[in-house]
Amino acid sequence: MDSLPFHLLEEILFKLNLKSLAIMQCVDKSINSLISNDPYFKSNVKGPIPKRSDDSSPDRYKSTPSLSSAMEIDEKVEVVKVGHDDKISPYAQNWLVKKKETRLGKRLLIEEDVATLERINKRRRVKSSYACN
Amino acid sequence: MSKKMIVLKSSEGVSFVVEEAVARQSKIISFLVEEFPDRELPLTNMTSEILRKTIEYCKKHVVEDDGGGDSSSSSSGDLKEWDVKFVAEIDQPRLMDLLMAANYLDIPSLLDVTCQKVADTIAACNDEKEIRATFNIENDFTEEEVEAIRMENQYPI
Repeated sequence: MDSLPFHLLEEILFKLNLKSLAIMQCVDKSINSLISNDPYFKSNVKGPIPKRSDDSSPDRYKSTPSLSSAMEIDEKVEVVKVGHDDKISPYAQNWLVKKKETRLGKRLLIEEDVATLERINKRRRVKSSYACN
Repeated sequence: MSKKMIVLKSSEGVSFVVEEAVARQSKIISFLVEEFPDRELPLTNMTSEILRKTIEYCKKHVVEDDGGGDSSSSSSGDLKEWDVKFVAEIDQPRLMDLLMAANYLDIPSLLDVTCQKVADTIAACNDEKEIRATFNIENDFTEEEVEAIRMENQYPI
């Protein structure tokens, strides 16, 4: 069975029920990775059962989400997890500090602007008071 | 009119003379016959034993092209029964060789029958140790890793 190409092994695995697949996962690492990377198996054991088209149809690969899309979903979950986590990675921390700094910088700039404006206005007021007198 | 015969040669150099209609169930042979007519076809990765078995299967499954539908010697029910018997007689290592041959020669029905037999053998096993023993697979897991997979699947085995 070790020498069997993956597509033939898959052909056999397609014919097994979930209990046998679960046992097959414990047989060896290559078989385990083949099964546990299959989105159909994952969703059956760990989530609601999706409808799968007839096994004999050649389109069966199209009907189930591809491995890459399953990984994308995993990545998204991972991102959400990080967002909720109290511990922030050094990279994220660095980024947050930078963001704070720019915000702070902007505010300083604005404050400066306000100060200049006030100074100009003050001068204007002084000028106008002179004019009145 | 005599039927056209072709010659298939096994890895041991043994020649098998087969009716073209029988051999053409293999898509590969069908292609080779058209590309190289009147040539002996060497199948270097197939032993005589496996080639003989494959030919036996193809002979049984050949659909006689006589124009009439009633010429087929066996009904589909009989044929299925025959298939089950055919794979039941083969031991495990040879079944794998036959499966590989069906894949190499591109005979979908034989591939399906052999895969089904392997799947049935797996399904008949009670645990992973029995599967390893049956298929001669080396265990590359530690006991803890197996336990972790079991816990994840929540299948009490």
